[in-house]
Amino acid sequence: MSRGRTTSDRATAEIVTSLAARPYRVSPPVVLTAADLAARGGVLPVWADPMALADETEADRLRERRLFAGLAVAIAVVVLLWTVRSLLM
Amino acid sequence: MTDVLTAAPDVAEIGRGVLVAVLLAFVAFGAIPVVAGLAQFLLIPMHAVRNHYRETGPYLPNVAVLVPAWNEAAVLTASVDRLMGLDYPPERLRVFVVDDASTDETPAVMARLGERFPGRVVHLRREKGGEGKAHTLNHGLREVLADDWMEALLIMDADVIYAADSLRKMTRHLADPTVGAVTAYIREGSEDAHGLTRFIGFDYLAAQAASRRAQNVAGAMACLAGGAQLHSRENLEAIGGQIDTSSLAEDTVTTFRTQLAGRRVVFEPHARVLAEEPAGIDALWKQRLRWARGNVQITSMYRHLWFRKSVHPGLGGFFFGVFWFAILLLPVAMLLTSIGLVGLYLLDSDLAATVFGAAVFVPVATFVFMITMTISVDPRVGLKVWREALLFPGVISFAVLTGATFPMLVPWGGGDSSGWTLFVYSWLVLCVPAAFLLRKLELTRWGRRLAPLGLYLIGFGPIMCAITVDAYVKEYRGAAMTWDKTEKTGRVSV
Repeated sequence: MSRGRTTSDRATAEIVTSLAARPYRVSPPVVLTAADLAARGGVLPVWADPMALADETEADRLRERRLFAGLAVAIAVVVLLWTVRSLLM
Repeated sequence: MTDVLTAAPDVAEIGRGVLVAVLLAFVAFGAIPVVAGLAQFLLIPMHAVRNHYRETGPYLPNVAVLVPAWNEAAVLTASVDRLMGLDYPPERLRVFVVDDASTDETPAVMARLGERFPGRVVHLRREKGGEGKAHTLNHGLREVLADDWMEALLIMDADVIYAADSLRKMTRHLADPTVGAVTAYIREGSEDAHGLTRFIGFDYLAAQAASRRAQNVAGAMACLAGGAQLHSRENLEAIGGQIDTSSLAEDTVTTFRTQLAGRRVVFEPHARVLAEEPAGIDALWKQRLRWARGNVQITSMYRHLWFRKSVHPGLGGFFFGVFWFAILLLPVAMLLTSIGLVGLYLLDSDLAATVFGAAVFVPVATFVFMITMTISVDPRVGLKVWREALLFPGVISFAVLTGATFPMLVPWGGGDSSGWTLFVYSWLVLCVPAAFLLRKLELTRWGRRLAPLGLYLIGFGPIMCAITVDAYVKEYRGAAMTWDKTEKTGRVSV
């Protein structure tokens, strides 16, 4: 069934390899003036603090672990359904 | 002569055996979408360990937000206000509203917004409009790409509202040069959610929050949400700097082009976006028909891609192909299952009952697993729409499935119930014309009040199947590709 690798497939594979070899994109540091900070009640916004941004990402990464709890609940509900059905049959 | 006569019953027996085998194959075909759905939902928990978070960085590029707008005066002020209030460096965010020759108050609303946010909110007006969203976006793209300032482009709809932290949660993925585009989690956001919008709420929960996590794990994304797609400038230039105008699913084409050009598409589940969805069956039908026709067109457009890993390891993979066709061919699967069960019943009612009884627990268990998993990915929304989740296949199908799973609990289970049995086996396909009738009913003066009841009886799922059938028919007949815009009233609130 496969038509094999074409010229465009090889070109795409080369793009993938070259992109993976590139350094990460960076943006220039955010400059927050004293007036800007005062307008925000002296609270540094998350986007102005690289550590806060990293913490936010880490929190989101850890939050994904709740999916395991969802899986456990889903399996438990199916087992419960099967058990009730077996008991009633 | 005697030999022929004695052989005749054998031929009839063989023919009957073949027919039974074919009918059993029809029933088995109906299991494919169930198995594909289960496989997809089993991938979701893997997102806990297989995600893109470790490859992100604190990247805050200059973002141009492109908002196509045709007669969106009712929602534009709220949307732009929310964009201006995003928790993102203000000097790195500009909003470009592409006014598709609106005939309402849009120009006046934009003039006021331009005065309030000078240099940050730009009004681009097309004098000749009505060509559809893709043409409108391309008008804006030409303007935005002509300036070097933009490093990333966010394409959104005029009615959607972004959570304050959503944009920076999307841009962090673009730090990785292999990522070309990022999409967010769109939720139904009506303040006064009722029957239909609650069904849509569950549908979005399953199709966005749950399914797209599985697609992240599988490494192939089916579609960037039209109202929340962030592209790197490099990616836009790599795919030609224009949005496809030849199909009704321009966002899916953009998603495929991005991945086929060698870049990844990532779903960010913690970037939350609220959208206003249709409040009536007819409006929903028009919106989803456009999407379904778009998917039929894409199936044909990318026919060289399916099940060919050499073309693209993700999009051409077995998993993605089965997932794609399981949705597209769901009406066919329902029809074949129904034919199989009714045929078996007519040939051998005991065999039909055995097959149905033995097979029914698998889809029921899969359905229960899928809705529990879906609710668990966003319990806040899930707990609001759990009833609609249970009744997604409709009250009638729910009763049929409950009766088949717990036959001792239903009063109609015993005795001579051939009429009920035939109805049960046929409902899988009868619900599709019933959905067509429901749409017609809603358009009548007296039927409008009955339509919500009909929606719960027939179910949201069968309506989606009927829309897919309508899409096949419209594509086969070459019906005009009209852009039926969903009417927005500004019901969304955070």
